[in-house]
Parts: sequence; C-alpha cells; structure tokens
Amino acid sequence: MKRTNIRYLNSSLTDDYDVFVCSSSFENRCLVAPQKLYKKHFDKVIIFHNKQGSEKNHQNAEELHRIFGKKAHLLALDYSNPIEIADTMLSEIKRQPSRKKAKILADITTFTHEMLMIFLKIVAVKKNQVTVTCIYTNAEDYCPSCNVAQKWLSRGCEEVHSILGYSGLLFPSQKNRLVIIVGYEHNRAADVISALEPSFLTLVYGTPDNATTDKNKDANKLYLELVKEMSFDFPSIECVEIPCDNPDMTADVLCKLYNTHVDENIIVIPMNNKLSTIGVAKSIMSMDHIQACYAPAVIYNESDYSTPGSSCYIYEL
Amino acid sequence: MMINENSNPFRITTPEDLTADETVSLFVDVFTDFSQIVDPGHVILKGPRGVGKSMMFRYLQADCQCLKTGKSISDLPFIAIYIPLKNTNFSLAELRRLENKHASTVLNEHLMVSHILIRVLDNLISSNGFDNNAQYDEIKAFYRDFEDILGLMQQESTADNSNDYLRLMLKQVKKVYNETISYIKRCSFSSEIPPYTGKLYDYIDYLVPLLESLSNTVSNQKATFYLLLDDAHFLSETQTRILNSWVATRTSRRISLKISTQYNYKTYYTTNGATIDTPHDYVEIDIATVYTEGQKTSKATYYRRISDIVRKRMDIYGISTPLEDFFPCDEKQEQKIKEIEKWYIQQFDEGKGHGSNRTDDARRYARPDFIKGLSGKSKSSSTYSYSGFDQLVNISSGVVRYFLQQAHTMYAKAQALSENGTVEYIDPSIQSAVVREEANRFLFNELEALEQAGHDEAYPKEDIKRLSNLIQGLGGLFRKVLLSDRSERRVFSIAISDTPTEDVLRILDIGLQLGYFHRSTIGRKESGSIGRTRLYVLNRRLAPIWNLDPNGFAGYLFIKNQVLKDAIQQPFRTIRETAVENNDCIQLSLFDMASPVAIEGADENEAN
Repeated sequence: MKRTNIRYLNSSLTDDYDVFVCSSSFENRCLVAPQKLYKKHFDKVIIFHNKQGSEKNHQNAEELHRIFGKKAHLLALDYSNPIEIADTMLSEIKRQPSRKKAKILADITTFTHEMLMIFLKIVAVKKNQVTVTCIYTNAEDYCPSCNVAQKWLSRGCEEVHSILGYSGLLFPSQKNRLVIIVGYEHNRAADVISALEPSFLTLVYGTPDNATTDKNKDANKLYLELVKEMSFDFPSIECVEIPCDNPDMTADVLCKLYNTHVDENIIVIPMNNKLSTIGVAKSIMSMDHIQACYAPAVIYNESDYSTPGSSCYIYEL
Repeated sequence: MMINENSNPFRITTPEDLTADETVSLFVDVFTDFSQIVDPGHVILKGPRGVGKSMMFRYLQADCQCLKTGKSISDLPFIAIYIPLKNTNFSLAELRRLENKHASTVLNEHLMVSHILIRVLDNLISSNGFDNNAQYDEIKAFYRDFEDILGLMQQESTADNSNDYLRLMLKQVKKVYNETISYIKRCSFSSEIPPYTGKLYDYIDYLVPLLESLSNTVSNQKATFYLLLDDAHFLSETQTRILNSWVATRTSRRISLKISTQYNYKTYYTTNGATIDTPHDYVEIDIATVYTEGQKTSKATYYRRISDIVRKRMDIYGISTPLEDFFPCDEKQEQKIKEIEKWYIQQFDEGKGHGSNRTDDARRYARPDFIKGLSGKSKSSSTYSYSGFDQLVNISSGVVRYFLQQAHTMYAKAQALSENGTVEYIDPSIQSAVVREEANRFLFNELEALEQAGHDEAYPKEDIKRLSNLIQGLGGLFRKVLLSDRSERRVFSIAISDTPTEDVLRILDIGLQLGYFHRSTIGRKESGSIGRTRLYVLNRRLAPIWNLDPNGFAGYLFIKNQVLKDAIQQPFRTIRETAVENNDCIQLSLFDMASPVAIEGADENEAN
C-alpha cells in the first residue's frame, strides 16, 4: 500500500495499463484521479455508470467521458442488479487479448461497496487473466457543512442481501452474528441492525491515527458510539479496531475475529471506506463460510456528501 | 432472567434469543384475542414491527409449552417449530441468476424445505423433549423413515440416545443443505446455469410425509406440526409463491403454517398462478387492527395487554410501584383539566350540556379545551405534557414495541439522573420530552429524510413528498378541529366519503406500509346503506407534532377524495382553506359509531 499526494499520482504509478476502470458518482471525488492521470498510461477506459443515478451522477459520467475522449467506453448499468454488474465486468475481462495478463488500473473511490466486492471476487477468480492496481482518493471531509455530531451520509435500508460471490455458508441451526464495519453511515448501520435482529453484534471501527479523511479523524469513534447507543437492545456489543488505511491488516484482524466465533453464522457488512472493504473481501475469500451482505441506502446525502482530499492510496491486488 | 443494577426492565430482546424460562415468565397470554393462532389451520398474521408476533411464536414452541403445561413433548397437542425468515440465506444474490427460469421454483423450494428440516431437528434437540432417552425406540424407528423419505443413504450408525439420533439426522440434512449452497455459489459468475445433480426436496412429497411420520412416532396425540414462519415479507416473490402453494394444499390437520408478516407480503399468488383466499385456504389476522379498530373492546384489550406486559417486566425487576405511579401524569396539568371538567358538569346540571350524560361533555371537551387554552395568548401548546401511563398507552398506537422503546429511553434517562441508580418513578417531564423527541424523529428524521432523495428500489421520492404533505395536511386539519368549537374535537382518523382515486389510495397505502397510518373499517356514512368503508387512523405517536390529544379512540372525518388530493399537493393551503364546519350535530366517538364529523368539502348531506 502506497500513499501519495494526488499531485504525484502519475509518478507513483510505475506501469502502463491496458485498461483504466472507474465509476461515475454524484460525488465529485470520482473526477479527482481521472483528471490527474496521464491518458497515455492506458489504452482503454471503462466508465461504469449507474443508469438510475441522479442528475449529478449523469453529469459526472459525461465529464468522465469528456476527460477520456475516444478511449472512453461508458457502460450504463443498473447498480441495484448485481448479476448485471458481474456479467458486464466478466465480459469486459473476456474482451482483453488472451496472449498476456491484462493490466487493469481501477479507481475504486466511488464504486459502491457491493460493486467493489464483486469486482474483487471476479479479479480473484480470473487471477490468471488479470492483474489489478487499485487507486483510492481520500475525502478531505464528509458532510462538510455539518458539525461532527450532525454529519450523515445515508439513511435507511431497503433490504439486506448477500453480495454475489460471498454467500458464505450460514446454517439455520446456528445463531447469527452481524459484523458491521462502521463508518460515517451510522444511521444506516443502526437500520441494518434493526432489520436483521442478529443474536450477536460486533462493531468494527477505524482509529484516528489511520483515518483516511483529512479532517475529523476521530469521527469514526464518535459514530461507533452513536451506533452503540442506537443498538440498546444488545446487552453486550463486541468492538474491534481496524486500520482503515490498510487492507491487509484489516483482513488479518477480521480473520482472527471470525476464528473466535466458529459456532456462529457470521454476516459482514462493509460500511467504512473502500480500503477497508478490500480488507473485508480478502478476509472472506480466505474463509468462505462467512457471508458478506450489502444494504442499499434509502437515501444518500447527495448535496453534501464529501469534499475531495489531497491523498491517493495505491494498492496492488 | 439475568438482572444487573444497570439493566433496564423495558429492554427489547429478540424473542428467538430468550430461554424458555424467560419467555414463559415474560409472556402475556394474548391468544384469547387471536385464538386461530393456537388452533390447527393455516394463518397469515399481519402487523407492523413490534406488535408481538415473534413473541407469540416463541411462546408456542415446544420447550415453552412443555414448561407451561408440565407435559412432555409427546403429549402436546401441537409441536411448534420456529422458523425465522429474516435469515439472509433467502436473499442470496446468486438466486437472482435463476429468476424467470423453471429451476428457480424447484431450487428455492428445495432450499426452503431443507432450511425447515434443519430447524425442525434443531428445535427438537434444543427443546429438551427427548432428554433422558425419552422415546428412544420411536426416534430410532423414525430414523429409518427419515432416510427412506429423503432418499438418503442408509447409515449403519446407531446412537445411544434419542437426541443423538436426532443429531445424526441433522448432520445428514446439513450435508444436503451444504451441497445446495455450494451449487448456488457455483452460479455466482456463470451466465450459463450449471447442471444440478443433488437432492431436490419439496413440500408435498418430502416435508409433509416426513413430519407426518415424526408425529406418528413421537406424539401420543398425533400432534399437528405448526411451522411458525416469522417475517415472511423477507422472502422473495418466488419464495412467497412457493409458500402460498403450500398454504393452498390444505394440509393443515398435519402441518399448519402460521405465517407472520408486515404489510408488504409480496404476493398472494401461488406458483401455478392461482390465488390463496381467506377463509378457504387460511385465516388472516391483522394484529394492529384488532387493537385499534373501532370497538370499545379494542382499546380496553390493548390497555390490559400493555398493563400486563409492563407489570410482569417490573415485577421481575422487583419494582412493585403501581403503573400509574411509576409513570405519573403531570399533576398540575391534570388539576387544571379537572377544573374544566367540573365546569362542564356544572353546565350540564344547569341544562346547558350537549352530551347524553352528565360526564359526557367533561370527558369530551375538557382536555381539548385545556390544549386550546395553551395555544391562546401564551402560545404555549408545546408545554402540554404527554405523560401518565394511560396517555403513554394511547400514544403507543397498538404497538407494544413503541411503548417499551419509549419506556426504555425514559428509564435510562431517569437512571442517569438518579444519584444511586435506582428509579422509583419516571418524572412527567422526562416522559413528555421522550414522547416529543420520538414524534419528531418519526416524522422529521425518518419521513422528511426520505423526501430528500430516493433510492432506485425505494418508494418514488415524489410519493414520499406527497405522503409527507398528506400527513402534514391531516395533522394540521386535526389540530384545527381540536381548536374549533365542534362537538367532537379529538379526531385522528379519516374515511373517504366518495370514490377514492388510485393516486390517493397509493399514498395512503405507502403511509400504511411505513406505519404512519393504521387501517380499519367503519360503516358507510350514507343513511341506510350497507357495507363498510376503509378508515385510516393516523399513528398517535405523531400527536405531539400538532399538540393533539391522543386519548380515547376519537372521532373521525368523512372527507371527499378531492380534499385529500389537495392536501397531497398543498397541505398548508388545504388546512387554511378547509373550514371546519361549525354545526351542532352530536359527534359521537368512534366507539359510539354514530354520526361522523363533517368538514367543508364533504357531501352536503353529511353535515346533519
């Protein structure tokens, strides 16, 4: 894992790539890395785009298209349909020439958690055909117009479903433990807990010294407390720290956690930054009886979600 | 039940995680209200979250029934198996690959049957019904049937006791289940459906004969198996159709399906396109309606249930204070209301009353007059105190969880303020503050947040905005009625006097789904007409938003569809422009089932 100032992104990438992959979003963060990258680094650009997204989302998709010009392929997908997402990713990999491993550079900053997990699983399944470098642009702040106690990014959960490729093996005779990687989306986390009513609850959170945001580094701890407060039905809640800026160490911590609850069905929901979501994916790929779930939000705070930061993380899968 | 000094008597625990002892000690018998649940027969039990569906199911399970009745499992008239459907195994993303393919129904049914079999065996093991080697020979005999019916390889293994035989069976079903999940996993990234070579179990050929055989061998009563399928709204449409097909088979003498669901049950169609109908195929119970519908007994029943539930919880914690003293009302406020009541009684005695008896006007007008007084010159409506056990019960709107949730917060706040951590009573100021916070959270945080942006799979954001408008419009209108000189001022419900349009019904329906309204029925308003019409009752948790009086199951308005259409678009204008007709008709409460309150915009002949 490398961390660099976004200004030095190009010099930090040591390779050329066959394909650059990114996702448009209502967040302007989806534009940060694409604006900085030298286009000569890659032959083709795939822009995933939520066809049911908001106006802002469409505008940013257009902007990404404009940035990459003729190299760009805008793929409009239904982000609520994991099968369509997976099949599109697979067919794009198939298109790559088979004579060599395709080198992919992926800006995962504004992938949804579900999309990212599916992408990582496909990369793992097709490891003989592709190598992937992920880049992640941090946020200077989330919900910048609010003070820490009032910040919110999303609310409500419509449903909870397993993520394609991470169905795990949950036995109906065992009790469920919900493991939530808590971030700023504390309202949604509380709604997920309330919807699933697990027997046991583990809240996994990041610490200030490894927060990827530039401001309010201790916010994760505050939101952990808020989720705990909202989960008053649980007499005891297990809390576990992870380094949110380090997928490998996150995966290690999670694997140890899974091993302490061997007689329970474990359901993990990634809701912190995308680097920690890579850690979640890696941990489950090594212990595939664990299930990962996704709970799409009812609403996102689109008008005040984040401001782009100045750091970029580079991670070789 | 474990109690420590910091624990809270009103804590809500998932019934699934309660022991039999805890369940029996906490359970308040509600089956006199819902006798069909205990009797053989398929039932669909509807209700919002928190009305006590899961607790009923937990109490029916064999371990609780053995403890309660002192009987062994073999002597129980029914053996109930709890099957929570909240399990995310029913929402595996991979299953979407099979959608619209024939394999989808077959594989989903197999998954459901395997899931149920595991729960049956696990429930029997954990019920302790076969401890001390009870019914060893019968269980051993059943083991052979089990392998025959499920087409499993005959095992040579023998077990020393009954529970070990059940564990052997559980292990075999788990293996089948494991193979099914492995197959489903193989579908993850394959656009072609891979061939399936494993077992395929269905309801009629596998589950029914297996449970019949089990009943014949272990039950002296030839007990009916009750499959308690909790939270069926979590099933996909395909899975719901499969479940409905089971309901349609009318096997209820041997297997009775007791299905609980919130209001968003996906479909009433079966896999072959037929529908299931009540009462032929199943009995439908709406718990919320039972506790809120327009009969005097509903309110009394709910009040009694809540009192019993709260009393039991407090007794377990050694709190013997009477409920009215533990949740006291604001004495000063009640004193002032009593003075107004006295005035009304005096007016009646002087021949100036409207009511049919001496206390009628006092009961009907004193509290609204008090609230009206607060909104006068002093503009202090928001100082009205929502406190006192009775008032809290009314605010909980027929949902036990609402009461417990608020009581939990009140208790925690009182405990934090107490020097020694003990809580002898909950101060009215704490009660009222929690009720008001909760009302704000319910309307502003939850609903208004939904307006800001929609999710692809959520209700359209325009509809959420319309619902918000409708609630604001109705709340404002109810407030206007409360402040008027009408004969019935405590209004919380509406019925549509003419033909409702689809757009209005859709918004009301979303309000029902999200818990902002309850639904009931009343007689049609036209004199001499027969039949009933729908009544929409605003959730009383919202009363503090408009400083309404939540007490009593008050009057209702017959409103023309157009008024609702207007409120959906321009709520504040509708409130402003809808004059509350100042007639002197006798407005009886909902429980009295008499003339409705009429407002402008309603039919001319209804203001009689």
